[in-house]
Amino acid sequence: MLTFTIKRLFSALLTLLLISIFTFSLAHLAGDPAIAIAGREASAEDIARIRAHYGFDRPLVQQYLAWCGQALVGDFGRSYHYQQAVSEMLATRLPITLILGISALGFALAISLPLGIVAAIRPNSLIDRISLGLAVVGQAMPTFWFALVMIVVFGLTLRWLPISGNASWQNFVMPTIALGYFATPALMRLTRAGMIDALESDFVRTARAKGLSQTSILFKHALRNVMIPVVSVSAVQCGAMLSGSIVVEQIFALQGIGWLGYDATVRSDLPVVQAITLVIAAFYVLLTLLADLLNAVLDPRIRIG
Amino acid sequence: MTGPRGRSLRSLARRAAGNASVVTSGAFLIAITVIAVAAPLIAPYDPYAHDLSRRLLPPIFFEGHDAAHLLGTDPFGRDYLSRLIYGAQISLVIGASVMLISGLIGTTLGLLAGYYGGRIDQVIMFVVNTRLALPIFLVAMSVVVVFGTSITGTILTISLFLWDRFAVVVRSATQQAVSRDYVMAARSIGCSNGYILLGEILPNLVNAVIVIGTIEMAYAILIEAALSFLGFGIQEPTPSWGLMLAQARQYLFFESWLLYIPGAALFFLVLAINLFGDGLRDLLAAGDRA
Amino acid sequence: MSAVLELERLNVRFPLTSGVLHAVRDVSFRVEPREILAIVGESGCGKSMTALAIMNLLHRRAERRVEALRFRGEDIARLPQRKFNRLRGDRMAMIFQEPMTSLNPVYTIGDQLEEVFLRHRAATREDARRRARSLLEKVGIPAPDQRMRQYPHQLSGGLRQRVMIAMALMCEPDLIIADEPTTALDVTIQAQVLALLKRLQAEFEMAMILITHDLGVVARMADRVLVMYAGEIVESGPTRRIFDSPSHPYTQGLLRCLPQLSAADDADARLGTIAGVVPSLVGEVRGCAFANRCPHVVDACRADRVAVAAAAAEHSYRCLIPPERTLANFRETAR
Repeated sequence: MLTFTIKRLFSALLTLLLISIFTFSLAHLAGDPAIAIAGREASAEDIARIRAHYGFDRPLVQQYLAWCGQALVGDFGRSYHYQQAVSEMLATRLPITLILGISALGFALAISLPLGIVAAIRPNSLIDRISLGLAVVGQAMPTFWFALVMIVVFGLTLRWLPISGNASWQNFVMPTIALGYFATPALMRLTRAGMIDALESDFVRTARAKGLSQTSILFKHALRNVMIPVVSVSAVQCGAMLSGSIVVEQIFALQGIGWLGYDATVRSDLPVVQAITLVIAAFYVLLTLLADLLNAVLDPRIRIG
Repeated sequence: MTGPRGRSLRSLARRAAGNASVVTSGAFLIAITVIAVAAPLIAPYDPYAHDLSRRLLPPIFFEGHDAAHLLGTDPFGRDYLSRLIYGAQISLVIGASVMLISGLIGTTLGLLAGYYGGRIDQVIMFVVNTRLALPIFLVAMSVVVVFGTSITGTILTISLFLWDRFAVVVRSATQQAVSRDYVMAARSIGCSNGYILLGEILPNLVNAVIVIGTIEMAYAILIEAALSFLGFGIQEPTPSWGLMLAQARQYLFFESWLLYIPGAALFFLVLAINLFGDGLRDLLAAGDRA
Repeated sequence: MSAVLELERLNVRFPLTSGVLHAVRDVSFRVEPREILAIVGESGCGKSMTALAIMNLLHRRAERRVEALRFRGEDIARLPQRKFNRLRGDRMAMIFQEPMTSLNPVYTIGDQLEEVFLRHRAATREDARRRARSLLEKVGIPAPDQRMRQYPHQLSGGLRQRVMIAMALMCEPDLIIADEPTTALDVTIQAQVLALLKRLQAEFEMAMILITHDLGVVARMADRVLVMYAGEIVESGPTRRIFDSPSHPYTQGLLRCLPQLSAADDADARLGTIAGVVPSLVGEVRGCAFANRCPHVVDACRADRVAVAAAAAEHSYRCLIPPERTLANFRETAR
C-alpha cells in the first residue's frame, strides 16, 4: 500500500511538472508580456522598465524556475489587469467552482447510479429503455445550449430560478444540472454494464446460494465491485467538469475560477490564465490520486498485491 | 487479407441494412453531408448578405414572419436558413478533420505503447494522463490568444485534445493482439516490427478505431460549437452554429427561436453520429462473435 | 425414513432466437438421508442445470417447470422467494465448480463465512467468528485466524474450495449439493478435497448430491448414481449395480472409457471413446437422444420417446433393447 501510494504520488508530481512547463511556455509564446502590461501605446523606456521590474529580461529557464519556486509556495505573481495577487483572486473564486464541481458530480451520481442499477436489475424493462434514451439524448446535448434553454425556460419564462450571479444556493441549481448531466450517460452506462456483469458473476451466485437477502446481494456483494470502475471514471469526469466549468460559469455569470479564467483569457492576463490552468490540472491529478487510493481501499487486490 | 476483409465488409453492410438505428442515422448523416456540400445550390440566400431593414424576422411558424425567409433572419438581417446550411459545412469539416488528425495521433501512440510496452508504454501513458489533466477549454482559448483564430488553428487545437481515447483503446487492443498466434508466428519467421504493426496488427484494430472515431467526431463538433460560442473558435462573419448561438444569447427573451434552431441542428447532428457509432459498434461486435 | 429431497418432473428450458433449448427434460429423483447421490454425464447433459434448478439459481432467462420439489416432505417449488431464502444456505447448501471466482474478491474470508451464520441464526458476530474458525479447522485449513483476515486472491484454488466447503457447512445443512467440486483443482488436491467431503458428509450426517463427469469419483464416493444424457436421466441405480451391470448403452460407453485399474499395467488396455456428438437440444427431441451414437440402435429407437424400464429393484434404465443383449457386448469389449 505504501509503495503503491509513493509511486502514484511520484507520477502525479511528474504530471504537474510537465503541465507547468507547458503553461509557462504557452504564456511566453504569447509575445512580450511587458507590452501586454504596458499597453501597445507605451514608450520604449516604459516597456524596458517593466521588463526589468518583472524580470522578463532574464533567460527563460531562470524565469521558469523562479515562477515554479513561487508557485510552490502559493505565489502565482500579480494579475496584469487587476494589479492584485493572483493567489488572492484564486482564493476568493475557488470555493465557488469547488461547490459547483462537487454538486455537479453529486447530481450526476445521484441520477446515474440508481438508474444504472435499476436498469441492470431489469434489463429491457421500461426503466431500462427510458434511461437508455436519456443517455443517448444527454450525450448529444451541447452543454452551453442546454444551459441557455434552461435559462429561457426556468429563468425567463417560469421565473423559478435566478439566471446569473452566485448570491444564493438557487444560483447553483441550473449550473449544477448543466455541468452534471454531461457526465451522466457515461456513468449510467458504466453502472448498468458493471451491475449486469456483477449480477451474473459466480460470487453473486454464491451469495444467492447462501440465502442472503436481496438487499445484501445487491448492495453488499454486487455494488462494491461495480463501484471500483465507477470511482475511476467519476474522477476523470469530475476533471472534465472543472474544464467545462469555464463555459457554464461564463453563461450563468457564476464567478468561480472558470469565469475568472475566461475573463483573464479575454484580457490576455497571462499570470492568471497560467495559474488557473495549473490549479485545474492539479485538482484533476489530485482527484485521480484520490480515486486510486479509494479504489485501493475498496479493492484488496490493489491494496495487497 | 483483402479477400476476407472485403467479404466481411459486405456482410457488415448487409447486416447494417437490417439495423433500423444505423439506417436512420446513416441516412440523416448522408442527407446533412449532401446539404453541406451542395450549400451554394441549396441555400436560398447568400449567408453573408446583410439587410438591416429585415433584421430578426421570425421563422414561418411564428406571427409576423416573411415567407421569403423560411427560418427568419438574424440580427444583421442575414437569412437564418442559409446560415444554418453553411454552418453544417463548418461542423462537418471540423468534425471529420479532427477525427482524422486525432485518430492518426492516438492510433500511432496506442500502437507503439501496446506493441513495445515497457519504457515506451510508460512514457506514452504518462503523456495521456497529462493530456487528461489539461483543462481543454482554457488551454484551447489560450492557444487562440497566442496564435490567433483560424479554422485550421481550431482544428489543430481540438485535435491535440481528442487523441487520448484512440490511444488508450488501440493500446489495449494491441496488447491483446501481440499475444495472438498470428503475431507470434510473424515474429518467429522474422517479419520486421513495422510490417507486423501495420500489416498484421493494424488491420485488426480497424473496427475499434472506427467506433472511437464516431465518438470523437461528435465530441469535436460539440467542442467547436462551444469554443465558437465563447468567441474563441470560428469568427464572424463565417457561419458556425456555435457562433449563431452566441448571437442568439443576446435575444433570449423575445427571439428565443434564434436559440432553438441552431441548437436543434447541433443536437440532431451529434445524436445521429452517436447513434451511427453505437449501431456500428453493435454490428461489429456481433460480427466478431459470428 | 422419508427422503430429504424429492424431485418430480423437472424441466428447464431456455427460449433462444433459434428455438427453445430443452436443457433438462422430465428429471425425477429422490435423495435419502445420509446418502451420496452422484449425477454423472458429459458436460452439457443438464446435470449442473438440475442442481441450479433445485437451488433456484438458474439464469434469469431460464424457465423452470417442476411438478413437485419436496424438501423433507414440504413442497418448496412454489415457496415465495423470501421463505425459500431461509432454507437456502441453511438447510441446503451448494459448493460450486469454480473456487477462483465463487468468492467475492472484496471481502475477507472471515466475513464471507460469518455472513451465512449471521443470516440464518440468531447469533452474535463473536458466535459467528467462533463457528467460522472451527469450520476452517475442520476443513483442514492451518492458521484459521490468519486466513479469516485474508482475501480470496491471497489463497490458492485448493484452499478456496476448502473455504467454500466450510461456508456450505456453516449451518449444518441436511443436504449439500457439490457441483464438480474438484474439476478446477490440481489432480493431487482433487483426491484430498474428495476425501474431505466424504468424511464431513459422514460426520455431519448430511445427504449429498455430487455432480461429476468422472466415474472414478463416483466409484469412490457415491451410494447411488444417476446417469444423465441430453437433459434426461438414462439410467439410475445403486453404484455397485451400475458398475456391474450397466443397462443403458450410454452408461456402458462411459464405463468403457474408464481406465480399468486391473488392466492398468496391460499394454493393450483400451481407452474407448463414444463416437459421434450429442444431438442439439433446441426444438423437440424425437425418440431416444442417444440413437445417433448407439451401437445397438434399431428403427423403433427413433420413433417415440423411450420409457423407463426396471432392471431390478432400485435400478432402472431408459432403453428399448433388453440389457441382456447389450451387456454381453459390453462385457466382451470392456475386457
